[in-house]
Amino acid sequence: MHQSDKDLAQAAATGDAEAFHALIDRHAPDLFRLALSLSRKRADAEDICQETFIGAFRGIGKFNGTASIKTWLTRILLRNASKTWKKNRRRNYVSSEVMGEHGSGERHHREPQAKTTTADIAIDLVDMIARLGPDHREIVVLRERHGMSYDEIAQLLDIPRGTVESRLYRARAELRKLLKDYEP
Amino acid sequence: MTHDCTEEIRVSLYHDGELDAEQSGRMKAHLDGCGACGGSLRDLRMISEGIGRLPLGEITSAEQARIHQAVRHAEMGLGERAVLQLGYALAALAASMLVVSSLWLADNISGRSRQREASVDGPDVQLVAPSLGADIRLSAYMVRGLGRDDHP
Repeated sequence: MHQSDKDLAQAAATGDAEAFHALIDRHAPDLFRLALSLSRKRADAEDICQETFIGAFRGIGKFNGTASIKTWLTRILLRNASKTWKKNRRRNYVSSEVMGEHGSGERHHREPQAKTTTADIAIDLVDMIARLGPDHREIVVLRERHGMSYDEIAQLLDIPRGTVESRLYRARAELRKLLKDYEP
Repeated sequence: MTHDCTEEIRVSLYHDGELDAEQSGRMKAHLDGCGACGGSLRDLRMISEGIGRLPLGEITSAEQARIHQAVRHAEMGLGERAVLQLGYALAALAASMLVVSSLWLADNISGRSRQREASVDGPDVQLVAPSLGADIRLSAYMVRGLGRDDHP
């Protein structure tokens, strides 16, 4: 018998571990895609998903059902992705200090090349999205990669729709600037 | 024309299909006459198409299994914490019982010692300073008692 997310969450909150694992099976694929869009590395995406589900398991008793389980899990995931981003930024900063002014090479700017097609910029976009700050990166990913509407993003991030508009605009302006730097 | 931020935000909204029909019509007309906004829209389309072409990574069964495993470890951790908390509570209870019993015992011994002191005459007992406490008086009494012939 198919149980709703809400039923599974309620069962999990009363100590039914298998109900929680059913929620993992149901939501892990989507959450992993989102985590991978935000982090680029599979290992990081896996860590983010693990931390998300562990956090959800510990907090399932506090889930009040005002948002859907998917929204609740996605919020936890975005917080964890932001933490991972900050941790990696500190690590990159330290490694660039150790390796010298330009760091390990992963962060080097590539030689400018002519990029006239979307295929040409696709790979660069992965790198550019990774360079955005957490707020800008998550809003670009939610809109562009996961096709969420402004209202859905506003609900998920618990921010006004106007903030979604302005944040997305600024994130795209940053991406455009980064793209321009790549063009001859 | 002046290319201000408000217009650019509206280009972004237009690109995302977030304007209503009337606003969308106005923006279309605006785009025909504004090269800067037209350029912005082209950039936005290129970015969206570029991101859209990126493959979405699928979770593997091994990765999913590791997520289940991590949560199971957390479940066990939660169980261990509950056992630890129970252990701490029992230890605290045992410690407080020990303290209460010790106090009760000390008080009892001290009371009996005073009673016996009152019934025993002798210079050695009289010499013990009261400030040394009940246990010393008790020791003195016991030492003296050991020397008696009627002691078993």
